[in-house]
Amino acid sequence: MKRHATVGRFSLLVFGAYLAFVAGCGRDLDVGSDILWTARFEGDNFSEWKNVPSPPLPDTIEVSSDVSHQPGNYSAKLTVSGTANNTQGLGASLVRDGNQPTEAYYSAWYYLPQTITVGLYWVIMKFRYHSPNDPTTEAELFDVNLKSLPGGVMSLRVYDHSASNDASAAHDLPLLSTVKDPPKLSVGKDWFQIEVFYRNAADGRFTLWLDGQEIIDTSESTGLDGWLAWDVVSVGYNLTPEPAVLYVDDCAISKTRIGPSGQLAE
Amino acid sequence: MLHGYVGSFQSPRRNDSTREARFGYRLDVRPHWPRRQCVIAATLLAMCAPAYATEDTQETAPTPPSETPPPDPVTGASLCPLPSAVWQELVTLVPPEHLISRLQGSAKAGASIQVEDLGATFRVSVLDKVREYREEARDCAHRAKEAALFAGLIIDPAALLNTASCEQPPCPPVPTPAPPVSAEPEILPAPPPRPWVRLEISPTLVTGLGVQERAVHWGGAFRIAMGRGSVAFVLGSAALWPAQTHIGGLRLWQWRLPADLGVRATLPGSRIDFYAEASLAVALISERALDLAASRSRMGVEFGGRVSLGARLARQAGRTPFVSLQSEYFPDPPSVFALPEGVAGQTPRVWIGACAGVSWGI
Repeated sequence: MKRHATVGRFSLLVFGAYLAFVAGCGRDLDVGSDILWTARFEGDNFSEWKNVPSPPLPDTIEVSSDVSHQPGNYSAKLTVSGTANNTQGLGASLVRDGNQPTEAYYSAWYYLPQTITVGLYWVIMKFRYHSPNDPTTEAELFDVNLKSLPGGVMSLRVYDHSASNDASAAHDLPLLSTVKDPPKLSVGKDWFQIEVFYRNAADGRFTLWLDGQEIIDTSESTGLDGWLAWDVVSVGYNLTPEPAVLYVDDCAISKTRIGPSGQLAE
Repeated sequence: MLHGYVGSFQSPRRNDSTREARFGYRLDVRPHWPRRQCVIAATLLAMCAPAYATEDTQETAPTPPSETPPPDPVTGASLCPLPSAVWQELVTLVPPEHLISRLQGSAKAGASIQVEDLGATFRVSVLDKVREYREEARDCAHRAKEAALFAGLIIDPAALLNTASCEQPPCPPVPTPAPPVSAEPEILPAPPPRPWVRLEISPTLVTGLGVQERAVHWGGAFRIAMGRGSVAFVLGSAALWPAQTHIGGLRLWQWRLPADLGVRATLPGSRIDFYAEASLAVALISERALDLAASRSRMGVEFGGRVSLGARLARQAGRTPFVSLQSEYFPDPPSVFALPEGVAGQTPRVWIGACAGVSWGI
């Protein structure tokens, strides 16, 4: 009987060591990450951002638990009045400026609670740069805009500041302007992802995906090199009804493409 | 202890040793000796003969002399001894069939034993051999015994010697020589006991299946088998050199440390021993991403089974070369995870390998 008890204790010890060994080693081998930076707002603050300018009233920017892109509990709520008197520069901005990698994937998830009629523009993502002629002055590069289509459908357009200073639809990037079936955004239902690959080099490239679908792939207006800023914003002009609300979540800069199924955290 | 001599001469002379010597017979006794010898032999035979007769009548093993065929083989006009008496004495010494076959097999047709009564002497002729005995008392029974003894010596000395050496007649017939039997199985020296412990060390090559780019791991393997029977416990491990592989688009630097515990069944052969193994396998596996912005090494453990087939030169102890093939199966291998891709894939479920090294029996 004593021997049986000893064997039992030994078996229990071996089994315990086995469990500890397995638990210690884990089943998933997390070998690292290509994510360079994320902002998931799960800290209920904007600490992940370098610069969160205070928007001019009545525009606001806040961390909200109204909705969030799963998994998570918080998102950023950007509210702009969008009156006809607003001009560019007003609105809510989350700024990630300077020291961006030569090439990277920039991704953010958006949620539109309702359909907004865009009178002139509604910028939701911006790329800015320092002009070689004036390294101290930030210059506009690309704007990713929401636009209204007939029938209350909302879609995207990309504005190339180097092509024109006209804020009209004329300076959509050529590829986007020629899309016969412009992408339709989900309103009041699902989050949508906008992801951009930008190579800030002589052989630069700008590629945009909407929910994983490639919309634009061009090398125009690239090859600038130098300082680059990436902003998630809500800057509108002549938006109705107002105020226009836009939720943003799970922003990330990655060395590899994130895609709709990409994970920003374990 | 028969005394006397056997000779062959054309014209025998009584007790003339000079003439006998002249005919070339080896006379190892003096002329007066034969008589004494014969007396002794006759006395011995006389002592044995009644016993023969008595036993023969009581036990039916040999054919009774009275029932023997007519004494044709013994001829002559002798009255003392009578040819029939000589025959009766002779068949007690030599089996009749031997007598018949030897006489019939002689070169001379109708060869026989001839007995001549010469008064104080009598002469016996057998197959060209002639012997003359002096016996002045004319004891015919004694003469018959002496004549039979002489004839037996000529015809079948082996049977006669056998009969003479028998202390208690009737003696059993001369056994027919047994046919040669095959040699008894050679008693081989007991083989040395199987080694209780067998150590094996070898370089090894292992690769995983089912991944985009197979990692070929070189390394060293060590195994120890314990037990003398055909089934032994076996414990093994290998240290494998890291190698590069791809899992789900991730370029990885992979390293493994497999080990197993199981049983080995050996089928010994005359020149090569074959063996098979089945064991529980466990392996530490480490992966490190090579291209991620933030890379780190992670180690996992996998559990499964291992089978192996091997062969080695059949030597009980000492060092001998061996080769083996192995396969490991891990039903639930660890997953490789990286951001933002998530789970990129799993490490191989199936690993195959080969070893060639030295096995050392202790």
